[in-house]
Amino acid sequence: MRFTRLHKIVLVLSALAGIAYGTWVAADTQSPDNAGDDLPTLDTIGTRASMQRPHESLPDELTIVPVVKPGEYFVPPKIEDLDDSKYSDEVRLGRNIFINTQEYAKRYVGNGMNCSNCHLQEGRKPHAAPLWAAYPMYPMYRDKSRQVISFQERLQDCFRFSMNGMAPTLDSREIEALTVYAQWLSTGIPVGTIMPGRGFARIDKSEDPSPFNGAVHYKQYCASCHGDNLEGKKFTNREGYMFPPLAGPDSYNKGAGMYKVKTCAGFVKANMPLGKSNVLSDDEALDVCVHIFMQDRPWDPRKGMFMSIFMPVTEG
Amino acid sequence: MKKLVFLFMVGALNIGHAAELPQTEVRVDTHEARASIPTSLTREKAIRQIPAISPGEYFVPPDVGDIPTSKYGDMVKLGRNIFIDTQHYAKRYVGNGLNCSNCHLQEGRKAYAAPLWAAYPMYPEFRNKTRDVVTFEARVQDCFRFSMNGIAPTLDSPEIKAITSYAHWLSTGAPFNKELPGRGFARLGKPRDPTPINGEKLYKESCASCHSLDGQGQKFTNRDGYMFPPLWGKDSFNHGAGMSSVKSCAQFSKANMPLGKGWTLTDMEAWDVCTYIWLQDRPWDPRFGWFFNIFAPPTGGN
Repeated sequence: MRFTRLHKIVLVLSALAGIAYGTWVAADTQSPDNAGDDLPTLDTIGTRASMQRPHESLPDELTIVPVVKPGEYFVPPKIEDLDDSKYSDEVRLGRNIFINTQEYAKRYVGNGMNCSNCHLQEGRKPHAAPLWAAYPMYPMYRDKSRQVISFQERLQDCFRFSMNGMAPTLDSREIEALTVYAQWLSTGIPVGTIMPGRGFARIDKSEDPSPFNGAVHYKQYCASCHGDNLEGKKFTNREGYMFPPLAGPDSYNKGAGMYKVKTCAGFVKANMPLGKSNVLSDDEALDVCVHIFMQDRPWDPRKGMFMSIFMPVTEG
Repeated sequence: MKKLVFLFMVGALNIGHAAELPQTEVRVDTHEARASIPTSLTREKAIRQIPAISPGEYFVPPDVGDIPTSKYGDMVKLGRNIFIDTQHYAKRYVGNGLNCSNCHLQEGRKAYAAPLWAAYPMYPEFRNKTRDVVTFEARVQDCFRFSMNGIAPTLDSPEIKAITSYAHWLSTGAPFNKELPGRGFARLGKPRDPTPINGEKLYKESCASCHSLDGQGQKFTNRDGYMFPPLWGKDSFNHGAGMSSVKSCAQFSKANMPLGKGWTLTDMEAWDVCTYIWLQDRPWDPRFGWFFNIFAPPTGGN
């Protein structure tokens, strides 16, 4: 067998791939928080009498989560009630970025989505990952990043994965404004409370989901808005999508939370079809999401560099 | 070309000012609340204070022993360690001899000693000092820069994250955007202009036994840092710190000093003592004092 130029190219390419894979694995396996190993024990020096269990009780009304009736959720303050302080300006900017990311944070966004395409009703709708339920929980340990991350870093992940873009720096105007908007939305919520309506709906699986059923359900329930090819529907008067694309280059990438079938099903169950929440059964939601899962979309930026360059995503 | 540049600049400025709300998004379902929010929970100036049930009772943060055993808990513990022993756990960012808990007494729990549980839920907040809305992390950076006379850790550094986690955990249950009683320092009246002469006398009477006559405080014998912090000299906070403004210092002293005998000084005595402290030599403000820091460094300390 002769050693041709083709062999050489294949060898070089596989060596490169090996190096890239090795770097990724190495970066993956090293502990993300360098402070964790030697410091988790409590310092005893400060355990003084004044630090002992408190005698005084917390006033009752501070801990009550303001849900008026069961099935009713926390209602964040109205945007019209803002005064004209600098804080309120920042809140308004945050809201603008949130509902019109294509204009106000375009430079960080790689696809056609707005934040409010998933966080419905400007981040207010319960079970559509409302901001007011998320903000009080951070800083929080997150399996995905394998360390405790702040709310700002969580926002960065949104930009990186769901918006298929680049993360703004932690001190950028965009991250700051979005944080202020989230903090304002959660006015009155006790810090660290798990609010009803947080995240998405819970899904109980009774059988393995089937993409074939999913395609049928998709045609029946989703295609009228999201299009037959999952391409979504654009606004006519401005940038961005009225009904977001579920696949293709303008959609979230494979690292996004919505790419997980379970997360997607939780969202779909609680919010889709729009205005008819909780109509689909758990299994129907899972079927539809497996159908969506199987479509073409941007690769995961953490490990899809080669593929993103040499096998770019096709039109949705 | 000039037109293009101008357009580009206009576009770049666009991010700076908060633009009008796009009317496209003001839909009925978002601005009509389905359940009304309790009025005591809105951010209005008139009703910002949440009343304590009985006077003298304040928000009580969770117990140290109840820190969860999780990665979050580890971060909280690290944050607490940094907070009470900054000289060991965040030494590389600190330029003087102080710990966070030298001013934030009782590990950041004591009401009217700038407790963390009252500060964390209020941020991001507009701050006159920075003339900007700052996040809690950025506020902690300012502590390092001014009160610790050091270098600000980056926003994603483990130190900032740990302290933020600790503050978040301490304020578990405290509502966002509410001014809790005990926030910051005491409120003071000012009956007359303060005199440092009176302040010096008072200092020698009531403060010098702990902070020593030359204001250098007393060090721990078994570890780094000060048991009683230095009030001036090169191991103290610098001229840019909040404690370097006479008013903040007086408010702090009124509520917390002499240690264990808070609220015993009159308003005027607190002003006098703090004017005396303010007149002493300390590191210069890093925002505009680098020249002085090099050619006229603060004396004292060790």
